[in-house]
Amino acid sequence: MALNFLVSFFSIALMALLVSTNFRIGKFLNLSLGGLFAAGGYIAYFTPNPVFAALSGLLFGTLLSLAISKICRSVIEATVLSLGAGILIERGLEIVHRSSYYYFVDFDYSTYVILLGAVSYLFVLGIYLSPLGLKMKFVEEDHELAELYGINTGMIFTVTTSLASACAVLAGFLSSGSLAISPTTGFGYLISGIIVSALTAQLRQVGAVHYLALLAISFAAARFMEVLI
Amino acid sequence: MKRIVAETAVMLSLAVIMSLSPYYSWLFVLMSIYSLLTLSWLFMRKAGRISMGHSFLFGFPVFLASAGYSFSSEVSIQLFIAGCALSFVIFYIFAEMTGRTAFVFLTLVFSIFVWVSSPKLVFEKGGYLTGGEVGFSFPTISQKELHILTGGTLTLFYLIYRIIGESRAGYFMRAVGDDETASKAVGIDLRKIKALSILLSGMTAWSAGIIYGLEFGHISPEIFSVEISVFPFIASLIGAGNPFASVLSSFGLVYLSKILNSMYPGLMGIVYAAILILSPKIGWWVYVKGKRLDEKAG
Repeated sequence: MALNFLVSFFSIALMALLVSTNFRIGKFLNLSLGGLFAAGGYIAYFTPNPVFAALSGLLFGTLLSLAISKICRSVIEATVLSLGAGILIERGLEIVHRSSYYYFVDFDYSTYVILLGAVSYLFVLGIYLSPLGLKMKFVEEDHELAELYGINTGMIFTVTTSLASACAVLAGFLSSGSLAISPTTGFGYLISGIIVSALTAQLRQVGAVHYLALLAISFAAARFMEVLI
Repeated sequence: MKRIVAETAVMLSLAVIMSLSPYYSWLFVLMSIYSLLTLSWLFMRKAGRISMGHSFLFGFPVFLASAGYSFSSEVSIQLFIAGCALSFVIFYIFAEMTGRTAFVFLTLVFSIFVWVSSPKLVFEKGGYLTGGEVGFSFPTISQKELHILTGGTLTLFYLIYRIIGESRAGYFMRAVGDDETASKAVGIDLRKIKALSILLSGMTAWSAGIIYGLEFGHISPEIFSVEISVFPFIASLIGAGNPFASVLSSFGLVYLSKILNSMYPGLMGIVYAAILILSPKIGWWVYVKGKRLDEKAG
């Protein structure tokens, strides 16, 4: 019971972290994270290799960030592009694996989501408490000004999007054992993450304090959000 | 005025031509439903609000009505009216409490939330469970009646859209859409204009929802899907925001989806995804082309 709650809590907290970092650093709402989560489940079924899952996410995130940098000029354009990328993944999965709508794997690594969530939070908090954290806060608060002061915002954006994408695929891979895998599996997780992230944003905090608040609100909301996932 | 008459004549001609075959009559109804959805989206766009969650406005009242139909026709009608009122209030609150960018996010996230949570609506009726991912049944009418109803509804809302566009209220909507602060400064009541655009948008979407229910005789949570939410955005993008071109692009997209999905199920989803990914480029290109066409016509 307690273990199930922890899995739900860390699943939601992880998705909220990914949504939040992408929005605050990358300045867009990454709607492809739901599709990436579902892709992780399919990778678990067809190629049960977590390294492959993480690398696929990393590659996708890099391509997504490059596409956004090249094509988009506003938050809405970048968000719509990421939505298109998410739909592309889902429809692609549906077309390629049409033989069965739902897939089930015969292993259950879902408790490792706790580890993935905890490591991700520690990683982000570690960055914000390090000298690099100041740069990150600067990018969060004023993207243009940070660029003028010589911070490589493009690189930070690419790294953030790529790591977030890798984490989403890996979370989908690890959660696959407790799910009926389908192209829309990730939407519930994505929505939970967006809701928690939006609630935390109302506190108007930056840096490590924001991410600690994100963790606390995920904990408080986990019981209600379980319905969605 | 001549242009509006000519455009309406084209739509009515299409309605007549497509009534000749049962398949094309069915297709015409489907195309008209999506065209109404696009017109509904354009009403809201006119007042500067881009909704990416239009599936909620379109699907929520008819989804409730179909759930109510499991009990009786009266309950169905009451729930439909309640659904219309509630969807209007929700969109109005969203428009009041958010700016343009946040409205896009909020409507999209909200519609996905409803899509994800609506399969949870399950109840027992006569010893059987109804609802869930399967959804609820809905009454149907004959194809001929549906064809006439749809053709009439599309023409009516198209005329309303065009006539309001040329009216004082339409200019106010456009002004609010261009610059809310400046509109307020010249004395335009922002609340009234926003409420009017959402009401007109809602009326169009609710009508489309009812016709959708009558066409399929069944409503499932898929009515809230992302594909339906983004459809009017895509149709309007291809139609460069022009109402007639957007209606025609809606027709074209539905026809294309029938062809592609019959070749390989789900293929149209890839096309939608590609359009969304390239939307910043397509939007710019269509805008420039549209400007050039306007200059030539001028």
